[in-house]
Amino acid sequence: MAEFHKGAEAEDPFEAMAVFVDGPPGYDGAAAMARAFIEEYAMMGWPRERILRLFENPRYAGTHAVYHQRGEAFIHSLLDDVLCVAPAQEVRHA
Amino acid sequence: MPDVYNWQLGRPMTYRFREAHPKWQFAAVFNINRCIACQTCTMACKSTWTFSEGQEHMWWNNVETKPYGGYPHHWDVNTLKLLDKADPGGQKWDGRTATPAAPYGQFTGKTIFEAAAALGKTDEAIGYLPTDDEWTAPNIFEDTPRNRRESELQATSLPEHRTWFFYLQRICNHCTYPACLAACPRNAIYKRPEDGIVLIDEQRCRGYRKCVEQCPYKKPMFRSTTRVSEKCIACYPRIEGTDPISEGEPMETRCMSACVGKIRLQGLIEVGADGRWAVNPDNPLYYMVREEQVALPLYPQFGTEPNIYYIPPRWVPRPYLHQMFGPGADAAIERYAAPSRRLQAVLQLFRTTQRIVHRFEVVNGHKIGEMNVAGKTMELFNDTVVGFDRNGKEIVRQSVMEPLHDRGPKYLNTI
Repeated sequence: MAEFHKGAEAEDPFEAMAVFVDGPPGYDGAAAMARAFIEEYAMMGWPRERILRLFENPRYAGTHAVYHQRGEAFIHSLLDDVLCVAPAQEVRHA
Repeated sequence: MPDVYNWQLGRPMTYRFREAHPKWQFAAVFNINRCIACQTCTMACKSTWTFSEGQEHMWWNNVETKPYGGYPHHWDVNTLKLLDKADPGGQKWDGRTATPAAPYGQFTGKTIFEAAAALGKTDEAIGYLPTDDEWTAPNIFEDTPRNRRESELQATSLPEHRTWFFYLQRICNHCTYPACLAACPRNAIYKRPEDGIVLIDEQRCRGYRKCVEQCPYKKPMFRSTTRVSEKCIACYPRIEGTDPISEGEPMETRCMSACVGKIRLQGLIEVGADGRWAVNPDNPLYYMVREEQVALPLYPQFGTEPNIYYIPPRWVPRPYLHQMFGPGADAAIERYAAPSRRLQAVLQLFRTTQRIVHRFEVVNGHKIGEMNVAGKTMELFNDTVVGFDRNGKEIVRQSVMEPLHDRGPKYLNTI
């Protein structure tokens, strides 16, 4: 079965569209992005549960893609690693 | 041609006109790390300024998915190719130690102006006219990269990124040395002395499209129904405070104030007669660009000294970021990933008010948590940032920890 893993070609008029753009050797783009998202929201004072919901909810395509590809345990391991002491957010119910 | 000083390049460069600077400069910082590409900015601009016949292709503000796309298509790759052709292998930075006059070191390659001269062109800058096809659609196919095996594909599956990408927000950079302005044979483009906004005088413009050709960011656009070019006007009635809702005080543009992701902060930078920014570490833009240096110009090597600055995305391979934002990318990411308490507080200022914040103060709060950033423990504090307008009046007060308003399951999807 042929793979849908086609590299970019300089002469292709559609350039980098619908192709895989590699990172450097050993680079894990999904993990790097997921960790950055967790750090961003933690810096804004979001608690662990609320950050996790960003990954669980399929409406958040970028974060949920990582959750879908790598699984919940992977997200928990990132949360464990980033959040030493997670903030406790004040919640006001509507 | 006279020499002008370009602090982003760390050296003088040739430009069509002698050095002259506005009293204030329109500028903004976009935090790429927080953009979700909702395109609210895009539609805020579109519905305000470019909704008429002949403006269908005009997206003065657009958000494109890098590295997959751009608007017009391939705009940056095409210009980078032209520069490489003019200076093969020479588009480099010298890596010298940063100084206040040259915070990113010195660029030893050729700008778009110098490349034109090197190639013996009569134009002021190298450039090209995008084809009609390249103007057809913003963001087309950009969200469909894939690296899945065919056996994994299903008829119902949606396109999904499985590699790195980020969203790049683009408006006119209201450059210090605009290529569009230098390119115009009619001198129909000018930079306002009061705020540095670059405008096209449509009475003088005859639609030669030299601005479209030579702006490396491809932000002037030709309107076939009026036969003149148009571009982002930085919502100048809002900047002037002449918009009826501004009550006489400077306001952020439509694209900035509509930002859902709170990634944009726009303001005015005081500029000295020599073109250097007046030292003002209490101005949030000055603080992020010149003090912390977490926000960087887009393709500074083009040589136009753009005035929109970007906090680079942390997860993207560094060679790509070096090409796009210059040699300052590593230090910017290092400082942004583990921000100082002051920077953490300033990041909370984004999108808290439509008014332009001229000065900020930080009030210390209590510790709320700890994070592990690259093996180091970073403390989180519930500090409060206070923003003031140009008259010193408090216009916003925002703590790091915002209360969460939970609507509960009963109210979900009721809109």
